[in-house]
Amino acid sequence: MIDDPSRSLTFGLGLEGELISAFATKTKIQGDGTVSNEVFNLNGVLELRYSVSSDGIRDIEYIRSSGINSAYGVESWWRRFDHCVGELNGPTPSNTANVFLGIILNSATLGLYTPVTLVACAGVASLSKD
Amino acid sequence: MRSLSIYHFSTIIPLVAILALYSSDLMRIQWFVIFIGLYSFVFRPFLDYKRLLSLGLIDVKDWKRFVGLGLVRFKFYSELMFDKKADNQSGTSNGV
Repeated sequence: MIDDPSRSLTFGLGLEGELISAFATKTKIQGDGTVSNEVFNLNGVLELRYSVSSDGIRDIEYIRSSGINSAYGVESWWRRFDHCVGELNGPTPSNTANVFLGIILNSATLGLYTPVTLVACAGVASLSKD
Repeated sequence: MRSLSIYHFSTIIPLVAILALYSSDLMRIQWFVIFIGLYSFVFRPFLDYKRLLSLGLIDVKDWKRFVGLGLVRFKFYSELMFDKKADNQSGTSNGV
């Protein structure tokens, strides 16, 4: 990919500099001047294809369905769920602090904190979108 | 608070709400810490105290045992979480 000038890797950063998205693109210029671009995820799966012709016509084709029942839908739901669980069970950068926090919060809630985080994150992942 | 389902509903729903609001970025970390602290060290021990009181397992004066983490609650874990009757229900603070 490095040696191919038609390909690029793009990162999206959040407000605090955290990585929130990444994708690869492959761009081609056809003989009639149409520029086509393919967007891949980091697993190399084609997600989006769009083209801009010389007369200004744009064509966008979504390759992967974002429905919850599709493989991509399940994958993105799991990613949101997993991110949420990590956020709630590891709110500080220190692993040791997170372990102590978990012990204290589970003690205070009679062991309910961790199971309830799973329930809450299931709801959050289902209601939110990428 | 004698009803087990009402007790669980009262304890779980606020916790789910706090966690969901925080993980949805609708609540800042400062408010999350404040609310989770209030829930863990004030609200939850208070509900546990009220339930044990209504079950006749503790006395009114035993509220001091529920301040902070309220570790005495673990002694009545089965009664709180599963409605299992205590072996010794004398209506006093025996063993507290």
